[in-house]
Amino acid sequence: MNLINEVETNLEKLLGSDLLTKYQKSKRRVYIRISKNRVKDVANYFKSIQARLAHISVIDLGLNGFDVIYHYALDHLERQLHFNIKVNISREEPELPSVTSETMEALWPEREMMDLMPVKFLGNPMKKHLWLPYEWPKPVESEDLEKDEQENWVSLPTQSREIDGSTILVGPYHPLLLESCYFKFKVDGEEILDAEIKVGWNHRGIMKLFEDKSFQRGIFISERICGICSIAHTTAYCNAMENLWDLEIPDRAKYIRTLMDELERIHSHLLWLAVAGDLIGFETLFMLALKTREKIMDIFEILSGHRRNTACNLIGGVRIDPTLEMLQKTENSLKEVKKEVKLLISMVQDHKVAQKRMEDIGLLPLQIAKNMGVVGPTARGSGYKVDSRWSDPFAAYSPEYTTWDVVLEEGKDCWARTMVRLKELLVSLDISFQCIEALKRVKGPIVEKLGKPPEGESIGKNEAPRGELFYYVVSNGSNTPYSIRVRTPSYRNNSALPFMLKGYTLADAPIIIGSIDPCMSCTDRIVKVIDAKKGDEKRFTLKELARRWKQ
Amino acid sequence: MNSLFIAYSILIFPIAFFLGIIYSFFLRKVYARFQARRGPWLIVPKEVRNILGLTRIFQPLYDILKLLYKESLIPETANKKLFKSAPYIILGSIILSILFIPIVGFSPLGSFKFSLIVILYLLLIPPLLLVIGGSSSSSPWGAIGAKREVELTLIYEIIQAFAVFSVAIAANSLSILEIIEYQKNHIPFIALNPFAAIAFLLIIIGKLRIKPFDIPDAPVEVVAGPETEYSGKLLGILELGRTFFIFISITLFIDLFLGGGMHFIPSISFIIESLVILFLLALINAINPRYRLDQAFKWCLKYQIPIAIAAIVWTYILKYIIVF
Repeated sequence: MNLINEVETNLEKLLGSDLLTKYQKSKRRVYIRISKNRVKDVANYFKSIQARLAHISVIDLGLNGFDVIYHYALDHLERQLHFNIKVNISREEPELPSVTSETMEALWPEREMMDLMPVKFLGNPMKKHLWLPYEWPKPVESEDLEKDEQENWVSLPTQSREIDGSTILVGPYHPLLLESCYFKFKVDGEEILDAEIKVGWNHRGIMKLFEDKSFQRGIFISERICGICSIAHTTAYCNAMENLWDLEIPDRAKYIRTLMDELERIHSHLLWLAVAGDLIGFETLFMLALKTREKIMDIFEILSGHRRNTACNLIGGVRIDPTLEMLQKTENSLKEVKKEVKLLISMVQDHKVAQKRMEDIGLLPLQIAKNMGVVGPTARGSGYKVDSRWSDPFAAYSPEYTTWDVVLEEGKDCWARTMVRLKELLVSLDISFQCIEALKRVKGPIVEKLGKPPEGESIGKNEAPRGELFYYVVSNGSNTPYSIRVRTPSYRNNSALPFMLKGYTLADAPIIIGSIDPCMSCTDRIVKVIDAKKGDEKRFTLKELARRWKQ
Repeated sequence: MNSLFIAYSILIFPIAFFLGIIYSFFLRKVYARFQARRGPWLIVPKEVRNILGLTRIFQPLYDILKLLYKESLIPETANKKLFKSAPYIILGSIILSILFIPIVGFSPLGSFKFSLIVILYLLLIPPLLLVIGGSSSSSPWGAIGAKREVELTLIYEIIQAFAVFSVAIAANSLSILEIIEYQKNHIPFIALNPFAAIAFLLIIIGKLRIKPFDIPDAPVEVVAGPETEYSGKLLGILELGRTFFIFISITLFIDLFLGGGMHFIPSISFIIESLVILFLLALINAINPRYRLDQAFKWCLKYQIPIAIAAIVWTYILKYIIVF
C-alpha cells in the first residue's frame, strides 16, 4: 500500500509539469501519460527502485501518431502493482530516445517495435534487425550511419569483418534444431567467446490477426500462439479482457481455470524433462517422462474433449464444467502421476552423470538475471523471485483459494533450473489436488455475463510454464480490440541466452539452450570457418571444405 | 580331420551371424523394456500374426536386409575410394577375427600360438577405418565424430592391452585356447583377477557405444558421428559388421574371463553367460545419460586406468608372490 503512494509522489516530484495525466484502474494498475523528453529519467527512476520493464508496446493511433507504453511491473515488490508510462509521439517525427542504456530489458522490445512499427528508438546499441531478416534493406535507425557500420549489416551467410576467432552458425534449418532459431557462436577452439541470437523465422503476425476478430474469438487465436502452453495463453488473454471489463469470474470457474493451468504446467515440465534428458543423452528419462505426460494428455481429453487445444477458457469464465465422475477420474490419474513424478525426480536428482552434465554450466548470476529481466523457472533458478501467480494472483491462486509456495533455487546453473522445474511439478500437483477438492465442494455458475465492450486499456498476466506471460489490450468500444500486444516468456529468456552461453564449451551449448526451455537441441560445429587471426575472411563452400579435409 | 576343419570354418560364420542377430535383438528388447517400451516382439500377438509372422526375433536382420536393398548415396564431395572401401575393410577384419576366437572351446585357427595378438590388431582396424570413412565423407559431423572416436580409441587401447595381457601373463600363454585350458584347470579369471574382468567389460561398453560412452555417434550432438553420410548398402555393411562385433566382444569376454563357457553343459552355459552380460550392458545403457567427451576422458583416466593397472599388479602378486 505504501509503495504505490511513494512511487506516485516521487514521479510527480521528478516530472513536475511533464506529468500530463494519471489514472488508476482496478487491480492497482496505474496509467500515467508523460511528455516524451522525460522517458529516460523515468526509466532511471524505476531502475533505481528495482522495477521490471515488462514490455514496451507501441500502438498506432492513426493521425494522432503513436502511443508508446512502457509497462513497469512492480508486482514482485508489492502485489499487483503496475505502472504504465505512456508517451505520445507524432507521425511526422516518430522518434524516442532508447532506454537500453538504463535497462537492458528494453533491448528486445525496442528492436521488435522498430521492426514492426515505423518508430525509432535512437541509440539502441544493437544495430541489427531482430524480427526482419538481417539483409532487409531499410536500416533500423534513421540516423546516417558510417559506411563501415552499414557494411556490418551483412546478410545471413556472411560475417562481419571484426570477428577474431572462428564463427559457428546454428540454425534456423538444422537437422539438430527443433525450433526455428538462429545462433551465431564466436568460438576459440571449443570455448564460446560470444553468442548472438536471431529470431523471427516464424513470425505469423498474430498480434495483427487479433484486431480482426471479436473479443471472444480472440481466444482461439491466442490459443494458437504456442503449441505447448495454449491454455496459459488463453488464460492470460482472458485475464486481460476481464480486467478491461472489470469483472470477477465465478468461484467455480476460477478453480477450473487454475486446474487446467496447473495441468498444463505439469505436462509442459514433463515434456521439458524429456527433452533435457534427450539433450544429455538420457534416453530412458525421455521415454519415462513422456509416458507420464501421456496421462496428463488423457486428463485433458477427459475434462475438455481435446488433448491439446482445449479451448476451455471464455471471457468471464470457462467453457467446461467437469462432473463428479470426471473429477474422480482426474484425481485417480493424478495420484498415479504423482507417484511416477516422484520416481522421475529421484532418477534425476541422485544421478551423478546427469548432475555432472548440468552443474556449473550456463551460470546466470542474479544481477544479469535482473538486468535482462528473465522470468519463470530460469529466473527462479537464479534466486530471482518472479512468479505472477504469486505476485499478481488471478483465478484461484490467491491464498484464500489455494495454498502453495514459490519454488526458489540458489544454484544459478542448469542444474538449479532443472531442480526448480522438478519441484514445481510437485507444487503443481498439489495445487491441482486442492482445486479438485474445492470443485467437489463449490457449485454454481461457470460463466459471468458479458456486457458491451468498454472503452479503455488493460493488462493481463499469467504464469505460463516458461514464465510470465504478458498481454496488453486497447479497446475503443467497438466489437473488436483496437490493439493487442503479447510478450511471451521465451522472448525474455532468449534475450539472456547470449550471457549464459559465454565462456562455456560448445558441448554444453545444447543443454544451456535447453535449460531455458525453448525446446530445441543443437550443436553444430563447422559450417563456415573464419580465420581471423590473419585478418582475412574465408568463406568455404562445402567443396572447398571437403578438399581441405582430404589433404 | 582336415575336412572337419574346413566344414567347421565354413559353419562358424553362420553361427556367429545368427548369434549376433539374437544378441542384438536381446539388447534392443531389454533396453526397450527398461524404458517401458515394447521393443521388437518375441511372440507376435495373434491379430497381426498373418502380417508379421510368428516372431520378430530376427528384427535386426530385417533391418540390415532393408538397408542392403537400398541404394547408397555418396556425397559428391567425399573421397569416394576411401569412403566406399572403409565399410568392407571393417567387415572383413571383423569376420577374419572370428576364425581366431574359440566358441565353446572350438576354433579353426585358435590353437595358433599368438592368436590373442592377432585378434587385438584385427579389432583395432574397425575404429581406424571408421575414422577414415567418417572424415573422408566431407561432412562436418563425420569429422567431429571421427575426432571423438580417435580420442576414445586411444585410451581404450591402453586399457584393453593391460586387461588382456594381465590374463595372458597369468596363463603364461598368448593363445586363447591355452588361456581357456588354464581356466579349466584352475578357476575362471573373473574370480582370479576381477580387476581385469571389470576393465575389459568397461572397454566393451565403450567399444559397443553403450550409453555413458556413446559419444562418437551422439544423436543430439553429431547426428550419427562418423556414420552420418553412410546410407543404403554401405550402412548395411557397417551394421553387419556391428552385429558380428557384438558377438565377438561378448565371446572374447567369455573366453578370457569365464573359461570359454565350458561349465556344466558347454553350449548352454555359453548362451546363458552371454545373455547375462548382454542384460548387464542393456541395463547400463538404460540407466545412464551421455558423458561429455572431456568428462569421459577424465573418467577413463580416473577409474579405468587405475583398475587396469591394478589388474596387472594383481597378476604379478598372484604369479610371483602367492604363486598360484
